[in-house]
Amino acid sequence: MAARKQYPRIEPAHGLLYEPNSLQMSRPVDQVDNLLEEVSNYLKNPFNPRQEEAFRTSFTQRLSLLWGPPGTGKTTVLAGIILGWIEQSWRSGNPIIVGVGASNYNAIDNVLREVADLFQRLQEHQGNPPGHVRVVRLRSQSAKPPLDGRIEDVARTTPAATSLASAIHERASCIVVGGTWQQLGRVAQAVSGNNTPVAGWFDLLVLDEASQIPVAHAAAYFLLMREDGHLVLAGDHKQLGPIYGFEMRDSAQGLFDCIFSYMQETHGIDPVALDRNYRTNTEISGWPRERFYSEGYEAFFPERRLTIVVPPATGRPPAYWPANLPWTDVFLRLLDPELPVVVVSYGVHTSTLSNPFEAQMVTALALLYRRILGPSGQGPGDHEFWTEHLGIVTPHRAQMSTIRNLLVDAAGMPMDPPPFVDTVDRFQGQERDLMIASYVVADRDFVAAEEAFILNPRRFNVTLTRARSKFIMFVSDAVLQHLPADADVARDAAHLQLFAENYCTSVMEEVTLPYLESEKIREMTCRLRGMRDLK
Amino acid sequence: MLLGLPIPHDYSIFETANTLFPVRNENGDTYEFRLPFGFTTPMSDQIPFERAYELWQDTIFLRHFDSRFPSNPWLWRRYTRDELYEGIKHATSTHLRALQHVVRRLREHYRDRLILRKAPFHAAPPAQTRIPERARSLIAFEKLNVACQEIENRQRRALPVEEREAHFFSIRGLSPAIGAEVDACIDKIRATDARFAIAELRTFAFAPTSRDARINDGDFLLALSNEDDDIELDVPWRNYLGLSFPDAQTLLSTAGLNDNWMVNISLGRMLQVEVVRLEAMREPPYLVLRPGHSGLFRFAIDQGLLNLQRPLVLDPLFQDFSSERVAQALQAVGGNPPPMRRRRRRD
Repeated sequence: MAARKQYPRIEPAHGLLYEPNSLQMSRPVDQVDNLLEEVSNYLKNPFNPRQEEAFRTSFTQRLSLLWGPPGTGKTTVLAGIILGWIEQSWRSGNPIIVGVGASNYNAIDNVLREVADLFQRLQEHQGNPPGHVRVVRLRSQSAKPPLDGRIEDVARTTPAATSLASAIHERASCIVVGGTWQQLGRVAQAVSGNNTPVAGWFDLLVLDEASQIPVAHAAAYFLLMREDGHLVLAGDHKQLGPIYGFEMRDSAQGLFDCIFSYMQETHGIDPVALDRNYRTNTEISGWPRERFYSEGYEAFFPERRLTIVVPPATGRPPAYWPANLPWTDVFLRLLDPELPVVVVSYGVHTSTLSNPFEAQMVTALALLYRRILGPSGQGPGDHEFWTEHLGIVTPHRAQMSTIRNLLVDAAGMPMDPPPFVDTVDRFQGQERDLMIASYVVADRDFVAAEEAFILNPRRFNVTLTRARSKFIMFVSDAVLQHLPADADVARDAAHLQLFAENYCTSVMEEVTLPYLESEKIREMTCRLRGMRDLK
Repeated sequence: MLLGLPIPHDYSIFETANTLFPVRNENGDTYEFRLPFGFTTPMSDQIPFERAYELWQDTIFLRHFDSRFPSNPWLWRRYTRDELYEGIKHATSTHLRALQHVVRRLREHYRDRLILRKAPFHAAPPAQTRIPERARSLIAFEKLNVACQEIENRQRRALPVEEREAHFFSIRGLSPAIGAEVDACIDKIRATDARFAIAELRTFAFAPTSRDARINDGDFLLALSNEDDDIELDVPWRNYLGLSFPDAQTLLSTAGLNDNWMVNISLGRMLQVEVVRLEAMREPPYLVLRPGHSGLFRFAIDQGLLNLQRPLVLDPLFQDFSSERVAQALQAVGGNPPPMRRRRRRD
């Protein structure tokens, strides 16, 4: 039989995309444990066994998958892997180029910042390292430069981009370069000489948040690797996926989902699953562990609580409480640190894109928490408050706007910095001590119209797991009791609905919450569910 | 464009084709798209799947209507396998001909109002046939995504200006801003960012109700237009002035704009701006814009396509940055295309 004609291909991109198992040659590196020991000197906390395994496989496998559920130290491990590779290159005397990619600049900067932190600690420990390392982020002309001054900013259309490409080509020193597939690809194309986005640059390519990277975009990154380059994909396919104009019902084994799912489902690549959660306490992590992470999601800080002392209930509002925000002692109960998970549900009404009742409750809790953390002028600054202590998530922009306006107009909070109220998509990769979720929609027909969006399990998983110490959720019965007609959506909806109804059962009370409507105080009868102390 | 037809319930493809400028012969009789019993589904465009199932199972229940025994269907003759096969083929081609009829009539009668001009969509044009099947699927998937995003963008811009603002898509109520604060802001921008040192920058105050719009510093896929103008940003600018290509070329050259690509560009491209600074929390809120092309932007003002004295609105545009690059990348990755499939002859 005649041999089949072989068409041209670029390696390792072709192998990674179509036959990654053929690349799975184990290449033992004698010094991996020694490198791990060296890198451990500069880590804030030593790696746990799964993290060590991830470190090792990045050397011994051409392609390794790192499954990092929320708060399991995925970014830290990636930075440790990059430092390990650079340490190895210093030992061998051959400088390497490391590529860092993701679907957005924030995720890229997170990795580069961790890398910069590690190098800083390395320098503090041993003075000047054996070689120079540049940490660079390539961006489009209109994108914002990195906030961290340790990360070199290069705009693609400037001469600095051409000189970066030359430096990569010359390999005089190690370079860690981050960028989107489009920006890196365009520089590669400009210097390729044959107008193709192909460049044998990266000895190691690290793609963070790979569960948000479409397969085709990942393929464009693969074209930038050296023929013997290694690839590390880190992600969590249980969190938010790529944003598409439409969703394919059948993802064709991950082909139309993300590169992380594609490698698992199409090629059967087993990820190293990080199993220790350094972010949330036991009560918050219990639900994701039960529903999403059966392989393990053990809380490293099981008893993490809000470090606040809630004042005793007096039946009267505190002296600072604004007149245009109704008060109830129930607010104190909702903020109780010993009740780490709280769900407040209420009856069906007509709210769709914004919900004044929920907005007032969220505003009241935000103000109370702010004042408990420190009286006016004391405690954390506004920036710290919104970046460390409190996050407010809501699915609709109209509700974001309503809450922000109330925080400024009713609660007297400053406009600058603006209160961090956003959609969950903007929160992925971030964490706060307290997260408040406002689900807004209380109209049955509207819930039915957007059921796949509002009851999306990945979205709920990310919302819940942003919280370090406490999670409060406002949701209507229209959402909790909605039964989707589509079996798949109904199955997915259970992640959110059963969280309230089956998981938060250690506290079940009926409470009455006051709110303003047409300048009159009204009362909403709500069900307070909670999960406390799983010990 | 929204087209209504005198159809009582259901706009099936046959109902639509038979109502929308139907084909008439010399006697005035109309040609009707229709199919025999068993190949249509009431209130739907679906060809009954039972026909395919019967063919697949080789167990045929469908019978030919026989006018001699109208109420005794068991006396009607069953379809043969070949008749059923031909029937499905005929049903499929009749559907496609009906669709083609609708498309042609729309094009003939409403061509000037059909403004969505796109290159023909090919899931796998010839240039992509020599790449692996998965790469072709990914390219088709990317193109579909881009098409969806473009349609979404156009649908948003088709909303009334109040709704565009209420959905946070657009910033409205813009009017030129002057004063010490905006001057200081511009001076700071010029001093701190070399890109804008000598660029044309324009400041506009806007409605406080637009503060939360999904528009940020650095966004450049935006166009400025008058709120009260009924304009379509995707249409070539010269259409609004009723100019032929040579006349538009001449008019442009009088303004010192001599590139041929400028003659046919869309109005949106002519009015494109970049947000250099957005001060949404100021009172009143304001922003600093840089025109995408200063010459074209000024030309648009001079020709009355944009009137800065009337309220303005800033709308998002769409541009496809990815589908071509994805195709390029997957072609570069290479690999074997799927083996050619020989079409099997049916006995």
